[in-house]
Amino acid sequence: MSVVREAARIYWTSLGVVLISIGGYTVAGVILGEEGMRQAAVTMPGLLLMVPGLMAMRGNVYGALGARIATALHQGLIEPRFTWQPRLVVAVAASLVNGGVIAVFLGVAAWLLMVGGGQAASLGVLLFVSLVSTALSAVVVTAFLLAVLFIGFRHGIDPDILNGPLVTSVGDIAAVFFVSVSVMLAGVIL
Amino acid sequence: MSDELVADRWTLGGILHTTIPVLLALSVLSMGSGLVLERMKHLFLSYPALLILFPVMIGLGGTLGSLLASRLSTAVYLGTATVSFRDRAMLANILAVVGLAATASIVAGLGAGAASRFLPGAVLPLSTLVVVALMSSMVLVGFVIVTVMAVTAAAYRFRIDPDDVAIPVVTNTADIVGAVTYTAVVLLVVSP
Repeated sequence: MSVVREAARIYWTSLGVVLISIGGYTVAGVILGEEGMRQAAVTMPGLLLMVPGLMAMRGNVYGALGARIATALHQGLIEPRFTWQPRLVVAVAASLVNGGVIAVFLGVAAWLLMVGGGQAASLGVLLFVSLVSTALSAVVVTAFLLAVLFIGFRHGIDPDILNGPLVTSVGDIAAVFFVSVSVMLAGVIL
Repeated sequence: MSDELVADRWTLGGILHTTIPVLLALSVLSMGSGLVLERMKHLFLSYPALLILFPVMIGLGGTLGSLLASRLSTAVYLGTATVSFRDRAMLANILAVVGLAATASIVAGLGAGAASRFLPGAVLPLSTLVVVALMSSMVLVGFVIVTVMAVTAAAYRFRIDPDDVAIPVVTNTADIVGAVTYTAVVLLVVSP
């Protein structure tokens, strides 16, 4: 096996999904950069502090979930179907609990850091944004992740390649998109 | 793998017991990039292109890291690769990932530049954005490769499932390394 030729094979196989993920990040970046969010960044101290953490969930929670499902598919421990399979249910439940715990932690930590640094911030607003955006992302991203891995696996596509760029980029867009949705809701409700 | 290792992997308590401490620790790390973003708000808010590039620059490490980690854990499990710079399969993956990083940053720089022209705020030349993106990503990809290899090797040695730890560790450390590197490059190139 020529190293360069194998590298080229991996490169070309993965390029499409990597570019899709770049597109995804760019969309997330545009959502971050548009006027409403930039204003919110100024009026809600601590918001930007939470953003990397909320985006990090795509790797922490969904990436790990995807890797676990991908390995289980390879091992034959999970069927690529939306049926009640104990292992599948446990894996998804764990990811939901993890997401909730992180959301609470981020809201509280962001508030503490802002207040500790001498800036006023609202714990209620920060917790609202982190919990609501996490809950909304969790539903959308988990459903998408499972659909992509199952369908991909059934068509002979290696779930490990799908899991990396495709799923994490959807997680990123979802994270930032739902942050902007919850920021909007916070403005209306709170 | 032994039966007890398999059984633990698939109970809710078993999973949470392993993942929650790690995730909390990594969330603390993620606040590092959050702090960078919050502190450098003024710089990023005045050049929208830099803000548009921010998720890309911190996320690229995680994306490529997840890809590499997923492939590596499966390959080691199936016996087709070992975690070593002398392993040909490993080298091929490394070369591919560096190429992907370079391509991705060029495309991202151009994309951010194009998108920023539709948003209110100061505009930066496309060449500047591409240079910033490339410099940041090359540093980041080097860090990611070393991290993935180290975490995967350590996981196997300590009998932890690499799938549970490799991706969270690499995406979070890559986030903060990416944020710091990107900010440093921006300060170097954009506002001397």
